[in-house]
Amino acid sequence: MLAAAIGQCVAVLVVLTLAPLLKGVIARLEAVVQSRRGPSPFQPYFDLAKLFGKQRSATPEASWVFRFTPYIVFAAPIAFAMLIPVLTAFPLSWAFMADMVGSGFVIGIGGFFTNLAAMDSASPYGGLGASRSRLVSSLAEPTLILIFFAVGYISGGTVPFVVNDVLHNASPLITPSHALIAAAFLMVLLAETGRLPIDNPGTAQELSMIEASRLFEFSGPDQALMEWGGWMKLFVLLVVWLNVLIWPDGLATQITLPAFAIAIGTLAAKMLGAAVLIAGIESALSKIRILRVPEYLGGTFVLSFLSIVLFSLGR
Amino acid sequence: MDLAAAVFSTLILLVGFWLLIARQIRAAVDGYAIQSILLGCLALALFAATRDPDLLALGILTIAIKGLAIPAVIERQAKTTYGKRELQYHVGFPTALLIGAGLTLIGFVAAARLPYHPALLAEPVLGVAIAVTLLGFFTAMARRDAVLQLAGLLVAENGVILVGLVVASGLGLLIEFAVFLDVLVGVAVMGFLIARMHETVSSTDTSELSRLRG
Repeated sequence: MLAAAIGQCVAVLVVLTLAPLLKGVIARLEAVVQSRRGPSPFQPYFDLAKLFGKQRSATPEASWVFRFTPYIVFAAPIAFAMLIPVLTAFPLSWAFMADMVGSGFVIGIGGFFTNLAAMDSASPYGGLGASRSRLVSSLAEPTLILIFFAVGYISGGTVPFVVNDVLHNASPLITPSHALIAAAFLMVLLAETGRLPIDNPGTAQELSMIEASRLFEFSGPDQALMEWGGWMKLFVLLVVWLNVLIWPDGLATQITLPAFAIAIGTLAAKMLGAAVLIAGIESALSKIRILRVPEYLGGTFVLSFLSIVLFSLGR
Repeated sequence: MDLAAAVFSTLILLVGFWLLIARQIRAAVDGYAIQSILLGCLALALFAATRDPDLLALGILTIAIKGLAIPAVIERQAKTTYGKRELQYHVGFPTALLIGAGLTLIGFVAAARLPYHPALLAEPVLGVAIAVTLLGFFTAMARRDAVLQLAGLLVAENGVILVGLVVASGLGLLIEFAVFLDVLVGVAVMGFLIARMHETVSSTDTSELSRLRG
């Protein structure tokens, strides 16, 4: 019991500490692609340290929602990390608190409160960003639900640990329906975490930004928590994509120091691969117009739909 | 073999969807070329499994004629509009995607109901074949640009070839050769007509043709 608790803590700590590094590595890789030297991969840690040392300020009109949102945004990915196989192939004590649908709610509550806070501060950009992000999320929702259906259908369960186990023993690992669902999930993941081609994380250009406008009114430690929470959201969703959907190997099978060290190393290597992939996607694609977002997300819907059709006929 | 067939047929289906929503005429023609090459690869994969020389010829002919020659002909004939975007269409893209998904479902259900016993390829490939045929016809209906309509018809023809591949592992070399030449000639003629149409009404939008001009 104690060992399981320690394992859980280590998994959460890994998410906490590696998420800023992932953001830094992606930024560095993109700079390299653009023939720039770019900031150090550790720059996000310095940013966090700087922001935590600053004063917090909020408009007097803002209500309790605005003050509580940073903590919720920060806590949601941590709670999510307890539900998914970050380091271990076997379920830890909290693993059966929620299945994929439930963990989708957990990760969604952060976005919900971010939108409320953005409206709450009465900044015009906040309302703009909130309504745009609702557009993206509401269109991503049908695809996400279909992905949950498809994953449940393919693996016979929706608890992330069970899916991981089923795919770990599956042969061949990559079937067409499986590849389609992985592609659809990656596309939705990019849309939900505010990456290209939906939103440009590198700039805060007023006319087109989605994510940045929701964070405008936060300052000091609040801003640090919001940004850290956003990086962790990207990190844990990528963990789901990597460890549950496409590459279920390399996880620890028991709670020992060497097994965890290997699992952390494997996860870091997988994350590096994902960072290269995301940097490649973001360097190759430009941001699409907001009115074309429905086409992008309609494409993900068709991919997940075809996955279900192909799977139901393939067996 | 089964895995290769599944991968190639899935990609063929995905390219069919890509053609349904391609904005640029160049992208649609490129998509058709890729789909034809995938179809040829599928035939070659079947050849590797069965050693049937007809399939080898079919694969090479498909790649050479439909993957390379026909896109080149379209590019030459429709040079004036080749790099353009289509701005008007009959069915919007999200709707077209949903209808396409429905057509795919119809294709798979139809394939499951046909009195056909899979010998060489598994049943889902027949579903893909029917779905690609339907998607091609729907593309021809949903778009207003003549080049994109032509691409849709060509996709439908790819689907028919795939049906032949699944049901009879090729329709026989002589018939297929005749079909290939017919398609090539057809594309050349349609490309010529598209070029003439562009000269006359300075657009390849077919809805322009419903008005009489004096």
